This record gives sequence, structure tokens and C-alpha cells, in this order.
Amino acid sequence: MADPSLTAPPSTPVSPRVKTLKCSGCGNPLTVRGMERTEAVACEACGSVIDLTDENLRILSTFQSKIKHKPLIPLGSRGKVRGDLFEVIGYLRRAVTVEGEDYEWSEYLLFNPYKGFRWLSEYNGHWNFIKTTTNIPKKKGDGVRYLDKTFLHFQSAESRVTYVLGEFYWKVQAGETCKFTDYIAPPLILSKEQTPQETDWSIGEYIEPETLWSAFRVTSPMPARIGVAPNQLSPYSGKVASLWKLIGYLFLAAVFIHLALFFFSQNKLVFENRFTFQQKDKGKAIVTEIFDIFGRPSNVVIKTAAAPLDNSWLFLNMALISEDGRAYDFGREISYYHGTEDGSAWTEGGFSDEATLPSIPSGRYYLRIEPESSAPMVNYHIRVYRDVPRWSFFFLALGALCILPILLIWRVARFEGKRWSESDHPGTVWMRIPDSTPEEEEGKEKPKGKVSR
Amino acid sequence: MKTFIIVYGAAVLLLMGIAEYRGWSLMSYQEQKGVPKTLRENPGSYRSSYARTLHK
Repeated sequence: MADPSLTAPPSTPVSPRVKTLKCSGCGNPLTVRGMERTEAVACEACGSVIDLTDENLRILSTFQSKIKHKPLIPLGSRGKVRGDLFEVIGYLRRAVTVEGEDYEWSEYLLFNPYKGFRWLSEYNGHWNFIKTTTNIPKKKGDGVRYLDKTFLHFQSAESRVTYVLGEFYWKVQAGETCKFTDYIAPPLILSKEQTPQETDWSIGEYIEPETLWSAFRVTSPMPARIGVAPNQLSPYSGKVASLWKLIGYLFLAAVFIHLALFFFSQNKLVFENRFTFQQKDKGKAIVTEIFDIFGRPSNVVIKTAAAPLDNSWLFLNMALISEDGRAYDFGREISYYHGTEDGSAWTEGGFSDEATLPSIPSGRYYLRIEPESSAPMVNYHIRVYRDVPRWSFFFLALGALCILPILLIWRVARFEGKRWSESDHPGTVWMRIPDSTPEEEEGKEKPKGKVSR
Repeated sequence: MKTFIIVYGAAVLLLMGIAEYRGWSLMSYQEQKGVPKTLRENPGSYRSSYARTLHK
């Protein structure tokens, strides 16, 4: 939801009223669009900042910048932003130095004679539409509370003006500095700017560059967006809850499908018999009587129990063979070992086994069994079940579905990690996932302030 | 993301449903065809791929 004060009803388009004068430094013609509200204008040709409140148009300062920055949105461009028509009248560059590295961003001063001043700021292709506010936020922890919304502290630093162009409502100075503190509640950003003279608060809203390019009919290419802006709305904002719900439904569906198949399975005993192996039978195979397997192609489970096994094994080479000549060949071992080692008893293995043959079609079958054993004599009991419900694929499916919440958490964390990486709190993403439900901003515009980002 | 979750989740559920309905298993076995009917009279004539490989 957009900040309402930034989306006021469209004002009547105003005709540009401009005043021209000559630069006191180089004589270059200068245009003043902000009427009586403009206090200073910067000459593009010589870098002089002229004091318009002085009748002799004295030079306030001169920017000795070797680099001539060109605003992406040219001065004099007019366009509707959030329903109001604004004209770009000033452009400045600010910089902060963090750990010896300079970070620069651009700020555009917008003017509407009825609405006053607004700002557009641009950093790494991310844009904000900003206005000053007279509502003072309340301190809450290291963040602030503003309009029933918690803004998290993002960063504090000192910025300096490195380049100016066009006109401004204060007497901008070369190298002018201010301390600023940013708080975020995407897509809003709240900035506190302090100079020795005053403290100003401004509220900004993240704005898509496409909106600005269209509004101001900018023809130059749009700069690519790099990284994540402090107050950029997460693509998962407001969606995480519904995605969790969806994942929950998938888990419920898995349980439902499994239980339905579980209760509707036959789980029918189709064959059962007891056998005895003796060493004299070694190498001899036996076949069982024929039994019927019904229903759709499904599993056949062969359960075997053997006794006595005392530090010995029984190996059953088995084949489930159909009357029409198909054989499902498999081998199973049952072994049981026990003993004592260093005074403690141990056991290994067991007395039973379970083998599952998959997708066996209906028909008449028998088992061929070829037993081997290390014991002189072993009794074993074989039972054959048809269409037995199994849990393995259910748990595999749950495991596969668990990838979804992991993926969701990872993607949200990755986005927030990028957001906070350039803040004063990198690596604290879990504690600082911002509330991303924008609320209405009721603050009134401050008609004249000082530096507003 | 939502589309991916729906498609992926549906695929997982479908696969699980088919696996359980058809009684799939992860057990290793060999399938042979053309076993003669005379095997019942002479069980020793069958050559199993598992016979005497582990415990000879």
C-alpha cells in the first residue's frame, strides 16, 4: 500500500514559471524554476553556487569537481509521481566513507508550487520518493516507532555533498556534511538528518525505476539494479504466510493419500508354510504349492522367521515364480550372533526378515526355495502377503516436501541477507526481518527544511 | 515460487501415490522370463542369480 501523502489526488498541472539570470562566476545563463523558494542555484559551467537571497548574487562556494555528473533525469523534466506533477529543479551527489571506501548516491530535488518539495534518491539503480515530515518518531529499542509501525535501524553515518547542479531551497555548501540515521520498514524508509543547526526527519518510499522513466519520459537507459535496497520490498513480502499454508496443505494431502491407500490395501495372507533345513539338504531346492495372487499389480511381501539360530545364519535363495514362466529372484539372509566382549554382552542380527517384491501382477504363483545355513538344523516359517501398505514412500515424500520450507526459508534469508549486508547489522538477518506491511503515513509535509534525502 | 511449490508438491504426491498404489519397492531382485513348467518337478534345474554367491 502506498504512503497516502505521497499519493495525493492529482493536482492541476502547472505551467513552468522560470526566471533567468547570469552566473556571477562565469556569466553562464542560469534558470530558476523554484520561484521565491529557491535560495541557491549551482552553475553547471563553473560549479559556482550562487546565493539568490543576496541582491548581488554572491558566490556561496565553488565545487571543484573534476567529474561532471549528468543527472539520469534531466533538470527541467516534469512528470507525475504518486499523482502529483513535479519538476526536477536540483541535483546533488552525496557520499559516505565506510571503512575507507566511498559510497555515492544521487538526489534529485522535485518542486511543485502547490505541493512543495520532494526528493528522489538513487543508489545502485534503486529509487526512493522522499518527503520531509514534521511527525517525530518515537524511539523503540535501536529502532523507532512511527505511525503504528516499527522501523528497524539500518545504518548511521555522516554524508557529505560532493556535487551540485541546479537550484535548492537552502544555501548548499561544498562539502556540507550531515549525520544521518536510516530506519526501515519496507517499502518505507525513515531518515533522521542532523546538522549542528537542526534535526530533520523524512519518510521515503521505494519506487520502481520504470515508474519514474515513464513519468518523466526519460530516454536514457535505466541503470541496472544492483543488490537489494534497504527498503526494497521483499518479493516474498505478504506471501510467506500463504506459501507456508500451501506447504502445509501438501503435507496434509500426503497424509491423506497415504492413509487412503493404507486402509484400502488388501494386506492379505496368500501363502504360509513351515520348513526345516538340515545339512543333508544342502544344495537342494524345494518348491511350494501354488497359491493365487489377486488384484491390481502391487507388492508381494515375503516374511520369514527362523529358529534356532545361535551364532549362525540361514540364507534363503528364493524365487517367486508364476505359472506362465516369470520368476522374481532374490536372496535373503537371517543371522543371529551374540557374545561378550570386555565383560559386556552383545548381539547382532535377528530371527526374522521381510522382503518386498514390487508391482507383481495377479496370477498363480509358487516359491522356489534353496536354503543354506551354517547351523546343523534350522526351522523356518514363510508367509506371503499381497498388497501390503508400506511407509517408506510416505516418509520419502515427506522428506521431499521438507525441501519446500527449507527452500522458502533459504530464499527469504538470502534476500534479507543481501539487504542487511550493507547495514550496520550484517549477519543478523533472523533478528531483523522487517515488517513489510506498509501502513499509511499521516505526516504533514514540511514546507521548508534543510537537507532531505 | 508459488507455481514451483504447487508443481513440485503435486509431482511428489503423484509419485508417492503411484509408488504406494503400485507397490513399488527399493529391494533388489532379478526378473527372469521363460521359466519352464517342468521346474516344479525338478527345482534344481533353475539357475538363480543369487544362488551360492554369498555363502559358498
